[in-house]
Amino acid sequence: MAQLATPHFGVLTYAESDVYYFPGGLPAFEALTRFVLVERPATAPIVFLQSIEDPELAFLTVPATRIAAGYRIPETAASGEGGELLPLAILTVRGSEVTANLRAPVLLDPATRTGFQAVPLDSPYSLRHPLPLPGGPPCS
Amino acid sequence: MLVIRRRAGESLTIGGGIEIRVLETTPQRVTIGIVAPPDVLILRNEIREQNREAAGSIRAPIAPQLAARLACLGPAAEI
Repeated sequence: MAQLATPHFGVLTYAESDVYYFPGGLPAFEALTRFVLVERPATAPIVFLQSIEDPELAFLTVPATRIAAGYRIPETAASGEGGELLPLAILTVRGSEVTANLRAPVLLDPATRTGFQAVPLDSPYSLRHPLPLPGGPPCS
Repeated sequence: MLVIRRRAGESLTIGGGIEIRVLETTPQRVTIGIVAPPDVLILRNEIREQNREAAGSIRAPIAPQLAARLACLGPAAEI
């Protein structure tokens, strides 16, 4: 088991088999190729995509199917292996406004532990899909 | 930065293998055609900018409350 000290999650302990390898990184973060998923009951349904190479970097994501019923993975993202890909929408917080990137999802292949961000040239989905967050106290 | 002026219908070539054609221009937007080998990744830079902004989101003041509010989301919407 390996350990990673992070500012957001404290010390993470992970197995090498937990690591998702992103051969090309993510656009604007091309040098970062190794990530682990951080999921905590208290922060569900958020799936944090934590960089191993840069402990300060963690993306907030949510499974795209949690936001859009019948979400369709971009066609350009042919999976090759034919395995089931898990699409994660990256969230962006701007003040009190939160949007989800449904157009260019991070696609994870749990079978091969690889991932990449799909960058379709045409998509019915928005790069900044607003999440209608209810205000007030948290629901139970 | 190299600046080149082109009219609709004109083109230019980069690196011997990538051709950029200006297809149409209007006062608001330019339509560009790109001919490139299949292994060349073509990216709208919005995605890079979006990722940079998203990377800072975990430090947003409302991030700690975000999960609780997301958990209140109803069933996934038809989009």
